This record gives sequence, C-alpha cells and structure tokens, in this order.
Amino acid sequence: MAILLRKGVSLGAGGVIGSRPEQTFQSNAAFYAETNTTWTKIWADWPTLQPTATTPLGQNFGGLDSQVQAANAAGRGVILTVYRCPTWAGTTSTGPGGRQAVFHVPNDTSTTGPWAQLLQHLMVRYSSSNPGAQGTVWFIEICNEPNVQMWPQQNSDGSLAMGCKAAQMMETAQAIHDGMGGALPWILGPGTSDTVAASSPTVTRYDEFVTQVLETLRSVQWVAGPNTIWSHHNYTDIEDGRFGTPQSNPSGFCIAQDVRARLANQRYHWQGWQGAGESPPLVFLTEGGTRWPVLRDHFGQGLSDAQVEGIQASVIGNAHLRLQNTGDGVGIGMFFNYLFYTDPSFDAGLRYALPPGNARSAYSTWAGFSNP
Amino acid sequence: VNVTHFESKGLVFPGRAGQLQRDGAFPSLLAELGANYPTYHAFLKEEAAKLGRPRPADYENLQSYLDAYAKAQAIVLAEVLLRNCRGHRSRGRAIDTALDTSVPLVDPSDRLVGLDD
Repeated sequence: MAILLRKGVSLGAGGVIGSRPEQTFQSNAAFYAETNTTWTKIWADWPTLQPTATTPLGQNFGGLDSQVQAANAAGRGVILTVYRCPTWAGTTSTGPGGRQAVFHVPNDTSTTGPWAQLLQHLMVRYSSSNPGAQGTVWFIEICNEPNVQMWPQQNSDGSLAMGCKAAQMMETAQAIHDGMGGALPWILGPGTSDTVAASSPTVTRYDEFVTQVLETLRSVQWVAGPNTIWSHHNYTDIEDGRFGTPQSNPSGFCIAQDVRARLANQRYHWQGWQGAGESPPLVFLTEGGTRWPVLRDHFGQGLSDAQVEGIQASVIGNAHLRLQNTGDGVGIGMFFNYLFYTDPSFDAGLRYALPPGNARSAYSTWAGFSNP
Repeated sequence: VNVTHFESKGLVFPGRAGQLQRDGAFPSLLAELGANYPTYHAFLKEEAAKLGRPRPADYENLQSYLDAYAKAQAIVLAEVLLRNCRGHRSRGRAIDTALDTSVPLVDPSDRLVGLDD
C-alpha cells in the first residue's frame, strides 16, 4: 500500500501559454481548497518563456511567477513541468504524423545547452534557499511524456531513439542540481506516458521506453541521486479497471507497478529519493485520471453524460482505494488528476469545461480522498 | 546519436578526423571514424581519463563544473558516434541507430569502454 499518497491536480498548459485563462492557478484556487488538494502542477512552457534565442531568461516570466506565488500563498506544493521546445532550440520542421515543431526534442541537452540553461534558471528562480526567489517550487519535471508527445521517437532505421535522449535529459538535470547544492526544487522525470500502443514513428510503448532509458543510464554508470524521482503518467490503469476490484482485475497487472519493478531491478542501481518512510524506489504519478472518450470506448458509446460521470467517479475512487490499500500502491508517492476544468480536447477534468464548468461526480469523490 | 546535431563542446578529434571536423566535412568525417575506430577510441579514452567524472567540489564555480560535465557528455556521445560509424562501415548499419547497450560506454571506474576491450 502507499504510505503517503500525495494528492494533486494538474492544470493545463494553456494557463501559462495564455490560450486558456481558466487553467491558471488563480482560476482554480477555490477548487484546491474545497477538495483539500495540496499539490498543483504548472507548466513552464519554454516557447512562451523564451520565444527567441536572444530573449533573456526571466523577461517573460511574469505570468508564471504570479501562478507559482499564488499557489505558494494558498499553501500548495508546486510541480513545474518543462514543456515544449522553441523552434530556435529544435527545428522549424514538422515531424512524423504532423507533430508540431515545438514538440521536437531540444537539439542540445548537455549541461551547457540552452535547455540546461532554462533548467538552471528555473532551479535558481524558484529555489527555497534563494533569498531573491520569485516563489518556491518543490519539483521540476524535466519533460512531458517524451514517448508520445515529443519527436523523433525513432532513428532512420526504425530503432528506438527517445529513451536515449530522455536519459541524457535525466543525467543533465541531476548534474545541474548537484552543482547547485541539492536544494529545492528537486528533479522529477521523465513523465512517462503509460501508452500500450505498439511502438511506431510517433509513439514508444511505455515498457520499451522505460527500458531504453534505464539501459542507457546504466551504460554510463549513472545512478539516480537522493533528489531525483521517477515520474509517470497514469491513465491506462485507471481507465482499463486495472485499479478495479480483484475480481475485475484477477491478473493484478498494473502499469505503474510494472514501471516501479523495472526501476527496482538491481541491474539498474536506481536509487533516487528514499521517501519519508516509504518503499523505494518511489514513483510519482504526476498526471492521470480518466478520459471520457476512452471511458465511452470501454463502457459504451451510447452512455449519457450522467452515466459517464458515474463511471469516472467510480474508477477514480477504485484506483485511489487500491493504491492506498493494496500492493498496487507500494512505492507510489503521488496521485494526480489532470485538470479541474476539463479540456474538451483531452477530457479528463473533475469539472465540466467552461461554460458552465460545473462539478462532475468525480469532483466530490476526489474531495473525499484523504491527503497526508 | 543524431549525427546532424552532434554537439562537440570543444572536443576535436586528432589527425585527419580533426581536420575533417574543422572543415565541416561531415560525410568524410563519418567515413574516417568508421575506418579507424581503434585510433579514435584511444583518443577518447585518454580524454575521458584526463577529465574523470566531473564532481561539483572539484571546480571553482558552477559554470566551470557544467562546462566540464558537458565535455564529459560529449566524449561519451563521440564514442557512441564512433561505434555507430564502425557498425556502418563493417555491417552497413544506420549511423543513427540505437545505442547497443550490451557493451557499456563507461565502466564502474568511470573509464571509457571500447568495443574491443
């Protein structure tokens, strides 16, 4: 069982990009309070923060600062997820399947490249040990779902590529953090998507991706340090009922635990943060929930909204119960839902989209979860 | 390794490869590396041994530590590139193929490992 299942809701990146004002912390502050949700995830959208190579880091940070500060003032812990890549640091081309240029991996992910400079700036700007900090961030998640959102996933011969790149990003982030003395914020990564789709030019199946990251890190004798935690995004377990009752999931297979088992394999010497009396290696589920279109795929296209609301509340409730009370929760240190106000293009929120933005059944279910 | 975005971080190969690298003659550089793996691996191994695994306490400030770390990363990536160039020359494998982790890049003593070690 999970010892400390920290409870969080992720905001949408549009709250920082500016396209969705309802996804700012300020627009959701009342929901965090009402549901006793202590953790929030805000997006450090690199193209917004540094649109050109000559834009000084810090110049465009006003909107992000204000959200971090608002979350701090409300007593919420902040995760900051580094998101997208400006074309000047990656490419202006589109990728396989029409992937936008801003989802290209940064070309230079070494400790002196522009991506590392952004990380370094964020670590200083939001460090609890910096008297001039513009707020406090607990964790920087170094990228978002590299195995589905970023590209290229494969090399020219079809072999997997993204795991190697993500491995270097993990190494670089930890090296910078070590150089700065180990203060907050700590490192989360790589924000794995739990996709079970077959690997292709646009996707790398979660298990193949995780293995390539770990094999690459092993190849350079890298060990996750005491301020590094593996982050994983968790939709499939919940939507597929893997967190359902033992009767509905007799095999007991759980992707989140499968990822943790790979970290625990002694071949990889993964250590990472040892937790507060928890069971290392720890995995933080920094995004997750249930997507309404997937629920309709699983449970029936003809379901009414009221019926889907009920299923969403039920499967999220089962997931939380199972994480708290069964082996599926061992070493799982954080449980996130993606969004309060839902996004119609990624419909996993605990509330309807604006307007009207009313609470769904899952909102009150979520509010009932305990929060250490 | 994405060969079109190999960041050398000041690492310049010796001899003919170095000249090709300075000239930006990338296709010729790849051919040269593939044909002479032992020579260039020996160079990288020596560079890695001189640098070691950078640790913050060994440097005056953060930037000099990060500079050294980036060079250490470049040495390892150059070894990946070198291995891929040899695989391309000897077996026709793609130069930007996935890293073969069956032979580690670094040993537990932080020495660069070669394919022929």
